[in-house]
Amino acid sequence: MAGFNKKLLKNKLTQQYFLAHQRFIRRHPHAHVFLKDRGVPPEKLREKAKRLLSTGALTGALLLAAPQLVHNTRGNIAVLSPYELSQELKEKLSALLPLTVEKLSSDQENTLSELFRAIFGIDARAQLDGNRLNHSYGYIGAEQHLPRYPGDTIYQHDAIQQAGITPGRGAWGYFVPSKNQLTDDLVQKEKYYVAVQTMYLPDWNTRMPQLRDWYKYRKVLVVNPRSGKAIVAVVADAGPAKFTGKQFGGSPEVMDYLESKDGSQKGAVVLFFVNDPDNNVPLGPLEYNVERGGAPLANAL
Amino acid sequence: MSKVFYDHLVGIENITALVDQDMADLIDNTMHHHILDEILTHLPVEHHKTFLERLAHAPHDPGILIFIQEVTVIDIEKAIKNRAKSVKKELLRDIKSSRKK
Repeated sequence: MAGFNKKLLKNKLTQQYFLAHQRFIRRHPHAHVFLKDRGVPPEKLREKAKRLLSTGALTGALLLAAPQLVHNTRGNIAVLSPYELSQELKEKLSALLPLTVEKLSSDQENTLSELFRAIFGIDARAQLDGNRLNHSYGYIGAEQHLPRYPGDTIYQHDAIQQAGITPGRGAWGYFVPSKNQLTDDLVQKEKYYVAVQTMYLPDWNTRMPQLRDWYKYRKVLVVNPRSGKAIVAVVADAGPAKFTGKQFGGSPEVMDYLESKDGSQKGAVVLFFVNDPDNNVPLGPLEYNVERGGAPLANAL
Repeated sequence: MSKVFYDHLVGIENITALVDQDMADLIDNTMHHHILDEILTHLPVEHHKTFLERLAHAPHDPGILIFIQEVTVIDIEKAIKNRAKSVKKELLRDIKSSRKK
């Protein structure tokens, strides 16, 4: 495994696992319940096969239909499913956030940081390296896809094409100068991007060169308190304009996952910077604990 | 490693060999979910219960594959292979993109 960022890889694989798990539950809830009740969820299939083969029970097992009891190897630790997690998070956030969307106090922001660390195992803060946005809690609106290179079209994007693509480049220009330079990493960055109002920062004009570099692809945690869903994205555009009444913009994939649009095409979110200098936190839906590499545990809440 | 009835169609060894055991387990578990999703999507609903009972009872039983081949209208072996190929491609992408630069 030399030459790999092991932590990042493990987090990516964990993410793949949870997405597959969630998809299975959504598409085949009856199968999920059946296998769980029999003590043989998909994760235990190999273990079950091994036990049968190693105890010499093969013949009997094939002939008899008696179900077996399987002990929960996790002991008494309650693991939350992604649905349970979002419900828990929703409940906690409704108690912590003000009733109306307004600026948060530093105490409120610190409490939220602690909550996110406990649930997701990540270091997310409203202020990082001395930088902060004018809002850490605000409205997010739906953005279109961004062109990643000159000549990029909506048909080159693999999902949510109906959202369209912006006619111009993002605030940081094209992701790459040409199509053949596009990497999987940059594909992910366009997929999971947000727009933030860097242009209204009080020091934007005086520190523009430093701030521009600092904000480019800066990793953020976006949480929708109404759905209890959270996603990790990067800053890849500036906006929206003040007159829209929104403070953030979200890529089609971000908005789709967060379920962040109400009738007025906007929704309230908490947006914090992710302190991830070693690039251990993958972009995309956050449905597990990064530090533990597993589902959030009930007793961590 | 003990066998599950569709292992020979999936072949994840070339990927799990690249990573540590805990990550290999994640890959294995991810694949189980995808393959079961594929099978249940193509298997007529009236046969779901029988399939799940047989699976829960003896996951290694090669007779399960024969059973689902008989009751599905598509080439289920091909469908499982295609799904596995697509998942492996995505997993390999994650592995490659986690190389230190």
